[in-house]
Formats: sequence, structure tokens, C-alpha cells
Amino acid sequence: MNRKNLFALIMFPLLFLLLIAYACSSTTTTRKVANQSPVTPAAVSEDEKHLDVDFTISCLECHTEETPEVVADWGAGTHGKVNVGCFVCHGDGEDEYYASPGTDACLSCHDSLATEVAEAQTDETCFTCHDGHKLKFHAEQHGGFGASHPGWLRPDSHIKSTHSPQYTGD
Amino acid sequence: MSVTRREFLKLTAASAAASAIGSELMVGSAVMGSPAIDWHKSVCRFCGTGCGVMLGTRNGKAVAVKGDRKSTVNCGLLCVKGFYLHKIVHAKNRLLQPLVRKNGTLQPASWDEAMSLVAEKFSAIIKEHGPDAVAFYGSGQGTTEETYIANKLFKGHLSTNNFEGNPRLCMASAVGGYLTSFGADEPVGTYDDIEHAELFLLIGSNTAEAHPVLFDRLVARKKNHPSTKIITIDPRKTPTNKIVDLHLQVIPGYDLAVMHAIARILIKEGYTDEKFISESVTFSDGKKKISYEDYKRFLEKFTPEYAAEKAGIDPQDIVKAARMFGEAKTAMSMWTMGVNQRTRGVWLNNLMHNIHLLTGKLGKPGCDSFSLTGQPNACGGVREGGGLCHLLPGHRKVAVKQHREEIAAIWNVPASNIKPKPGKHTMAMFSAIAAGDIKAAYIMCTNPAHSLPNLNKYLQGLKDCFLVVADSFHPTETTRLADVVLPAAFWGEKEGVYGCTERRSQHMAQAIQPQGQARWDGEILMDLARRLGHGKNFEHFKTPEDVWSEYITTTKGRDMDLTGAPYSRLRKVRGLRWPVPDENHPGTWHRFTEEDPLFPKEKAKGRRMYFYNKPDGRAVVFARPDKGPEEPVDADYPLVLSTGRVLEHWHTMTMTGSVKQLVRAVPQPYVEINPEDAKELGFADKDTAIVETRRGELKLMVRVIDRPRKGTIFIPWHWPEKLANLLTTDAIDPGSKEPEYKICAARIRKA
Ligand code: SF4
Repeated sequence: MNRKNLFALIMFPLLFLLLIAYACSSTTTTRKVANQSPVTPAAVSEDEKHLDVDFTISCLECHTEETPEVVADWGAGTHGKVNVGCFVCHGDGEDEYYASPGTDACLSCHDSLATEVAEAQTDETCFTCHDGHKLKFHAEQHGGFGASHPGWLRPDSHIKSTHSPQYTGD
Repeated sequence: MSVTRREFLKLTAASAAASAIGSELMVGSAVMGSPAIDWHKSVCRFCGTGCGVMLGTRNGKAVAVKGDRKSTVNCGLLCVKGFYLHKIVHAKNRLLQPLVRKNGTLQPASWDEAMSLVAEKFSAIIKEHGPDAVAFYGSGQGTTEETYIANKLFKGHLSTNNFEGNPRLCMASAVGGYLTSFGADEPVGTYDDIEHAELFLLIGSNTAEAHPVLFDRLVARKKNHPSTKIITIDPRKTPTNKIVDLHLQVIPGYDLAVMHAIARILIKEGYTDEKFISESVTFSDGKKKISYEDYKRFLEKFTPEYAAEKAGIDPQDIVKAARMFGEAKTAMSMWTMGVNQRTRGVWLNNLMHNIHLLTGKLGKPGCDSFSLTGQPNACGGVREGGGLCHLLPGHRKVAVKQHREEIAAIWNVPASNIKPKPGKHTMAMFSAIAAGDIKAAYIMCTNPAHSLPNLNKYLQGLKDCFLVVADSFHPTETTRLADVVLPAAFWGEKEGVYGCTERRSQHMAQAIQPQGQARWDGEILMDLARRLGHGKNFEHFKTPEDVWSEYITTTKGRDMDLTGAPYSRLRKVRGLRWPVPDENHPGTWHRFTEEDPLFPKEKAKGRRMYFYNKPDGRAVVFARPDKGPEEPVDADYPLVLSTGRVLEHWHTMTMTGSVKQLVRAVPQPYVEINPEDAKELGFADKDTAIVETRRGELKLMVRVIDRPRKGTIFIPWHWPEKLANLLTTDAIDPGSKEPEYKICAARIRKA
């Protein structure tokens, strides 16, 4: 087993715990709800703090130098193409910071997926299948409710947006 | 464990990539899924794309925003600005009480004190100097109802046409283009054409940053149909280039020749639709009718070589672009400020329409010449609502007697109340304020002390006149200069309609109560009307719905008929695209075709398109001279300065500046310099430079980046502490009166 795998083995359980913590604290608004939720935030690890860096430069500018691979992965995916920046999921770094973000941010745009997940009664979440930066499927983990998210109005379903649909609201 | 910064960042990144996590995230924790949240159907407060958003509230506070998946505009997607709207509702810079200037400083006052002062001053000034000594300056961000009330008060009751709005600074050239080419304002098609287009020609539009969700649609279109081609004509490489196949990186101001050269090739190589031309097109040199042959002769000068030399590009690229446009079965052009904010903005708009008229790529799925709007309600409130000095509601003009009479009847005033002479257009208005001819101004929902060009010329006048500013935020560059600042209810705290780029009117629900003492702008204006003795004709406006109901009567039978879009229907649907003449009508995709309820079949006699607002039903192809910019570069000022936007900030930053995440994305103002220029001038990245034009100078951080074309520099104009508009020129398009923000001559030196 190479070092990288070993590292991953150690990191995964840790990350899992962290992610549960973020589940209750992933945005300011989540915190409000979390106050009434039975889920107790797990202890916040030191790792959750962004390094104290020069915050007068943008996330992307620094990370293009510091983690070029990640920026390249992000850039190649749809989120990179349409400029959904680091801060959307990871916070601004100073006031809020999520090393491993929850799915609230996903759901702001891909809301119908939540309904689908609820209906499918699956344990899976966005990140079960999707790499957070590339957004590509982890093919081997694929299963659950299927690749195509049949109920999910994806951007390309604009094609189906026949003219002047008579939506009647919720 | 000690990690270097680099390792730490890597670790962070790996975690997101490797997460396999439990369902608690999605189900147990998400705000989005919480039943404790009430969701209200609304429209994004920012750009003219008009994305549908759902505003989530809890205990009277805005707590979340999500894209409205039922909206065909965005299918649930949002860009990063719309994403943070709920934070802006409760931002620290919200103004929550009226302020009145006393002994030189703005101090809290009661509503009654503030409004009596405003009424007193306005009455006194009108009495002494006449109604044209006062002015109203509104916004493409106010609701249609607000602009309508203001219009009714100022033009109909105070009898002044000194009534403008900031769309003059952004869309006026597009209006001029549509009116002259097609005879009627606003696009022929809608966004639905995007999903049918094989080719997109983007000119003067950084779509990726200025209209992100439309850009998402282009990305999706290309992903699903890889044969889709995208051409851009722009002096700057922008994030839009990520999906572009061919980039014509022109010298700013010389693209008119390029458009003519493209038209010439389209004709020479047989890409034209001669049947369409013979049926639905006529030709003009701007003064008189000319023949098709005359037009062809006019084009002879515009060889690819001629245009390429003027624009500083490769002639082969012009040929390529023309052939791509010609060969594509369907093509859509889109543009924004790079075309409009020009002293020849109307002409360039005409030239965009030309290539669609010549090839018949108009009025059918996937074909349109489509101007993108910058603000969420520039089309709805100001263009359609008549919020400019020469207009009246329902695409009417003050100069036309019948139009004045029709509106006066609805407003219940004598027709003589509405003056036939257009008032002062925006730049003339602020010049008159500077000259002291206009002595009091009411500014609603906009920030001209930041957004006017050549600011040095206008700031003192704003200070000196009696300035009333109604805004949701304070301080802004404009509220700082005001005598009275009125706290306006913000998005989500009021109900109203926004009309976006694609002729779509959408209803926004009131989700929470106005905070502090803030009031709906309509209520503030009606209070002023009452205090000025004109309350009677506003009494029946108890709710925004009452205002809308009266407004749509002004559209009955007009080209922008909204009769079929009352609140009862708009509350349910995700907007309606006019003309929508009755409540069973689904709205219109392609105007001037059989799909259009106003299409006069008898007159059209089998023609595919009939431009019914033109006397002969024909659209006009214009032979416009290829005039360059007003202030070309010279030995003293050798660089072209362009200003523009970044994705994460919007206009004068009063909203996006309060969101930490957006500030983090682009924390500081800067000037972009091309690496070659930087080398020649001895600049390194992050140096400090002084950018200078004939009008002012500005100290800025240098960003050396291969974005602007060599010989050009670029400054985003959002930051109040670095006002790019101290540098820009206030030269205007003689037709549209829109200033040439995009081009002026500059020089740069080390600080
Ligand atoms: S694209 Fe425009 S309308 Fe849509 S979310 Fe972004 S700013 Fe709002």
C-alpha cells in the first residue's frame, strides 16, 4: 500500500465525522435550523480553520498557485466553466470555512434532486457519486437512484422547455 | 502535524474529492429541505436574465434562496449573486430610517419631517422656477409599479418630462436599434431560441460574467450538441472564451467595419435569403431609402482586409466568422454593453440586425438578434413602462398627441398636463443639475454619483441641488450627497413585477415585512403626491396589484399587450412573454410572425414576417458609416480604457459588497494590463499604477493578465473607493444619448 492510500484510509473516517458536523453548520442559515435539530454538532477540528493567509487576494488566485490540480479539476467541470467559485461551497475562508462542504449549497441550484433523494429513500448524497470538483461520477460507486436523475431538471432540459409552458405553481 | 500552506490546501481539496458520506447531510440538516421554511416565488434582484428564485423565510426573516426549478429561464440554476440574495436582505448597510441633512450632516428624522421637507422644497421650486426645475431619476431595478406611479406623478401631475432612468446609460442604444431596424422595441425571439441555435455570435458581451445563467444555457447547449459553434467579437479575452470557437479580438471601437465585412461576404458567397429580403426587407442609408444594389455598392469598401486592418485582426478570421454564420442553419446573436455603451451604439445595433435580416435568420426557432439587458426591470419598468423623458407607458411617446390623450385619460388628468416636448435625457439632466437649472431631483433606487460617466463634472451639482434619494442602502456615493435619504423597502419586502430581457413579466411575492421604518417606494411616492396636492388620482392604489391593473390597461392593443397578465395569473405562472392579449393566451415566442397575436394576416399576404410597426411592414437594413470612437488614442493617451463588470459584483456594489463570500471572490479593484504592454511599460503584477485620462486619474493595483488586447486596459467599475467613472468619457450617441463608457483614451504610469 503506498503512502497515499494509507493517508486516505486514515483520513476517510475523520472526514466522515467532520462532514456530519458540517451537516449542522454548513451555512449561517443552517445553524439557525440546527438549533432546533436533534443533531448535535461534533467537535470542530482545527483542520476546519482556513490557514491565516493574505485574505486580500481572491481564493482562486491563491489556489491557482497553491493547488493547481484542484483548480484544474474544478475548471474542467461545469462548475468551473460557469464560474461557481470556491467560496460557494467552502465559505469565504475568514468568517465561515468548510473544508468538506455539505450539500446545502448544491441544493440551492439542484433543489429537485433533494426531492428525488427523499423519494428514493436512499442513503446516498450528491458526493456519493460526484467528485466535488470535477463533478464527474465515481463510476464504481454508482448505483442508487441512477445516473440520469430522471426527475431532475438539468440545464439541458431547457430543450424540453416548450414555449410558454403554463406552469401552475406548486 | 505541521503542514505547509500548500500541503494543507491539498488536503482540503482531497477531502471534497474523496467524500463518501451519509444521508444525514441531505435529509437531516439541510435548510433546503426543512419544513420550517416558507418558500416564496420571486425573481432575482440582479441582472436582466430574470432567473426565477424561491425566497425562503422563517420567523419573518429571509434565510435562504434557491433557484426556481419551475422557471424555464434558469430551471433552478442560480449564479453566485442570486445565491446570496437572502443575506443582502438583512445586510448591515440597509437604511432603516429617514435621514435629513442638518448643519451639513445627515441625521435621523421622522417620516413626516422628511416628507414635509421634500414636499415643501418641491412645491416652492416648482412655484418659483416652473415644473422643469425639478427632475426624477429612476432605475431598471425598481418595480414596474414604482416607475408607473412616479411617471404618473411627474409627467401627468407635476407636468415635467424631466423623467429619466439609468437604462439610458445601458439599454438606450438597443432600443434605438430595435426601433429603427424593426420598428418596435425589444427582441423578436426569446431565450427558447438558445436551445435551437447551431451558432452563437456574441459581440460586446462577456456573457459568462454578466449573464451567467444564460451562459450556463450556452454551455449546456454545446455539451448536448457538440457541433454548436460560438463566435465572439470582443477586445478582451474573458471567461466566456472557455466555450468559444473563434475570437475576433478587435480594437475597441472599430467593429462596425467588421460587421459590414461579414455582411458583404454573406451576400457575395450566397448565404442570403433572397426571398425573405424581397418580401420583408428594405434598405436605408440612415437618411433615405436606398436599393439593395446601392447597399451592395456601399459594402464594396468593406473587404475583409479593410475591416481587419481597422480592427487589428486577421482578415481570414472575418471570412471564417461570416462563413460559419452563413452555413449554420440557425444562428443567434447576443450583445450587451460593448455594443450599447458607444457613441455609435445605435448604428452597431443596426448592423447586428442587418446580418439576420440578410440571411432570414430571424423569427424562427434558433434565430434571433438578441440584445441582453443589464438590469432586472429595464425592459419591464422603463422601456415598456415609459420611464424615459420622451416616452409614456405602453411603448408610447410624449411627442404624439394621441398618445398623450390616451394616457391622460387613464391618469384622469387634462391632456395638456402632459408636455409634448421630451424632457432632458440623463446626461442633459445631470448637466442641468450641474448648471443649477434643475434645482431639485428625486432619485429612486440607483446611484448616479457612482455610475455617471466623467463624474468630476457632475458631483458638485448633485451636492448643490436639493437632492432626495430613496434607497434601501446607505451610505452610497449618492446618498452621501443627498439632503434627504428615504429608506426604501428592499426586494422580498414588497410585491411587484419585473420584466426581463425576453419580454417576460414575472411577479415577485412579498415575503417579509419591510425592516425598520423602510417603506415601499410606491407608498413614498404617493405620500409625496398627496403632500403636493395630487393625492386624488392615486387614492385607488391600495396595493401594488391595483397599480399593475391600471398599468396593463395602458398596454391594451399595443405591441406589448399585457392585458392577459393580471396578478391573478402572474402569481401562478413563471412569467408571461408579451404580447399576451388575453388570459387564455400563452404568450408569444416570435414576434412579427404568425405566432404573434398581432400579426396582420391580410396585410402580410403570405409573407413569413411582417413588421407591423413599420408603415410598409418591412424591416430596414442600414448602410451606416463605420465611424470610430469619440476619443481615439493618440500620442498623449496611447491606451484604450474600457470599464466593465466581474461576475461576483454588481453595478455599484451596494448589494454584493455586503456579502463576504462575494467580496472574497474579488476583494480589490484593479486595472488589467496585457503582459506585452506591462513588459514595455515596466509593470509587474501587483504594482501600483496611476491611470490617467483627460478627465481624471485613479491609483490602482496592476493585474498583468492576458485578457485585454494589447494596447487596451480594463477596470471593473464596482468599487466606490476607486471610481472608474472619474476617468470615463461622457460623450454620447447622438441617437440614443447613451454615453461611451466602453472607450476612452488613457495613459498609465507608476505610482
Ligand atoms: S444570472 Fe442574473 S438573474 Fe440569474 S441568478 Fe445570476 S444575477 Fe440573478
